[in-house]
Amino acid sequence: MMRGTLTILTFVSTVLFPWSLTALLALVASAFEPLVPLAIGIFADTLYYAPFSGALPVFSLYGALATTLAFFVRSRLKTSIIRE
Amino acid sequence: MKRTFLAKRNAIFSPANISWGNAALAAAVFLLLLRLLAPNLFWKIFTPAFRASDALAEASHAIFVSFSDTTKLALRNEELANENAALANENQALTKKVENISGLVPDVDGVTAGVVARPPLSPYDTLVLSAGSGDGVVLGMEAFGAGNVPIGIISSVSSDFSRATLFSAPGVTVNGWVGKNNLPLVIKGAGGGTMSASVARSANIVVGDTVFAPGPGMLPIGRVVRVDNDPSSTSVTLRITPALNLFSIAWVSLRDTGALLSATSTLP
Repeated sequence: MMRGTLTILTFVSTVLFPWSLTALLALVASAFEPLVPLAIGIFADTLYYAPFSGALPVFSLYGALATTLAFFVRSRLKTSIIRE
Repeated sequence: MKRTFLAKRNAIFSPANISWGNAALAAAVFLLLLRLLAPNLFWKIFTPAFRASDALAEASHAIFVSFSDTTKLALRNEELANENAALANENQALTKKVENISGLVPDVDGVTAGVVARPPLSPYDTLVLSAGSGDGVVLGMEAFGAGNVPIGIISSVSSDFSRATLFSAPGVTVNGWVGKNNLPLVIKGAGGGTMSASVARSANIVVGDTVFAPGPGMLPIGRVVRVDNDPSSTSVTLRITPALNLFSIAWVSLRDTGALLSATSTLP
């Protein structure tokens, strides 16, 4: 339930609140759902990205980075004695 | 005995196997495809959400104001300061027009567009506008805020919506002038609603000097708020803030001024 609420709240935040709060929520959500930062990054770029002057879709890239880190941390936790 | 065949039918797609992360990613990709294939429909769907965002921001602001007279006074002060800045910019623009006869271009009609999304919601220094090709908006039109302040250029257009890339967007450059002597300079977008430019140290540009951009004549685009001085260099870097608060802009006027030709960005 908490995962769903957090995921939906992060999506809503992308539209309603400043991007910094959305980024924070996405990072918190990544602890439970690693794919959420990537999804939010794609969503933010879908809404706001303007391809000018070689600018990169940074939100998708940061989201992908956060997702990669989240999966890495989860894999390390699984192989350690500390369980999720 | 009755056997239950295919007891685990659709097991892959059962709700239990679909995590919130997968669902979120699928939704994001779906919306991206919708944005690419049917941009106008996409913005029609999301405009009410942005309007709700604005209403929420106003409502929350009103709640906080009700708690404190100081906040109310600060808000009023901010409104008056913005109004004053807009009037000062308008006055400067008119003065410059009178000084520069060539700036008195008769074509001042344009398209007025409401702002659907602005920074900081829109993080790339862009404005989403509620006017598109159906309203007469074309690629390359220049966007002006209150007081006739140039703020950006239309970089994409759909039938009912358009997107303006602000002069403060990273990578966007525009030719302009600064100071009382109208020193020419190249204004570069620095992101986060700010701009920068490099001028010779001997030009003696100081904090508070007005920066102008081409429009119909010379129009104030911002003010120098800091001069970065490197003793080993013959030039100084000017930090420029826009003449308008981009975070609270509610409408813009769009006019075809040939700004795309003077702005040396690679706007699509």
